[in-house]
Amino acid sequence: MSIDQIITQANMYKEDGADVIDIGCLPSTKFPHLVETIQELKRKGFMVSIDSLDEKIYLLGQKLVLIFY
Amino acid sequence: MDEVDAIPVIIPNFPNEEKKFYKLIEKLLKNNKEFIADSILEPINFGFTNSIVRYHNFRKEFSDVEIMMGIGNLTELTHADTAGMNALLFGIASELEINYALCTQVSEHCNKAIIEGNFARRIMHTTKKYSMPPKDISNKLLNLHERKPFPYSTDELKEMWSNVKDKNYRIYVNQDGIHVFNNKRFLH
Repeated sequence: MSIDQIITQANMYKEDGADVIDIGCLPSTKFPHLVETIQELKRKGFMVSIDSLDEKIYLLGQKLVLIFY
Repeated sequence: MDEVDAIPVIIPNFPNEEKKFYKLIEKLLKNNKEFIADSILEPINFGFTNSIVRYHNFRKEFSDVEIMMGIGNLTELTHADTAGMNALLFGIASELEINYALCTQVSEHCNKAIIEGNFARRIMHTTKKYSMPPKDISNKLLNLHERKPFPYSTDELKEMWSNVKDKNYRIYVNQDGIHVFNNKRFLH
């Protein structure tokens, strides 16, 4: 999904009552625009969570999210 | 954990290893770090009932820890209407004071799961507050059934028919079937 598509969907979920938008990552699917997606969602005022099987996700610069499993 | 800048969701390596999970949680509590615990809701036929019991045990063990429940394993992996499942799961979440629910809309039969979850959490929260069953407060999760599906008996419909002066047809359904009537005809 492009960032625009994600924002559109996030807006729909928010309208339906979602408080947090969870970005789910699939193990075998590349998501090169993950950092940019989170930054854009944050800029638009969304609370964001992220679900990934990657051991570490560093968001350089802003240090937005880092998850260990 | 020291590097974590956001709030992590802590899940067990193996959901049935409760004691190990508790030990980890105790360690995190000692470190005074903010976190959310998720003991994992399992799909039906893969340990669902036990996983509910584990949420219950967890809440008894840690009354102040924030808990998340991912309800997608039930809604996504069961071909039944999600409104009812959401009602039940949010009822459990409300009783166990679960703080977060992860709702998903991946399978096509789940394409209303988020708005239903939103209604369900509000219905459960409000009825719990007033110590009443989750009934008579909202019709939002009644998709297949009406609270009162057949408001008029056939006798009452016939009485209505006797007062109809125009040719527009009225259509009503009750236990006896479908009734259609205008000033001239009463069809059943």
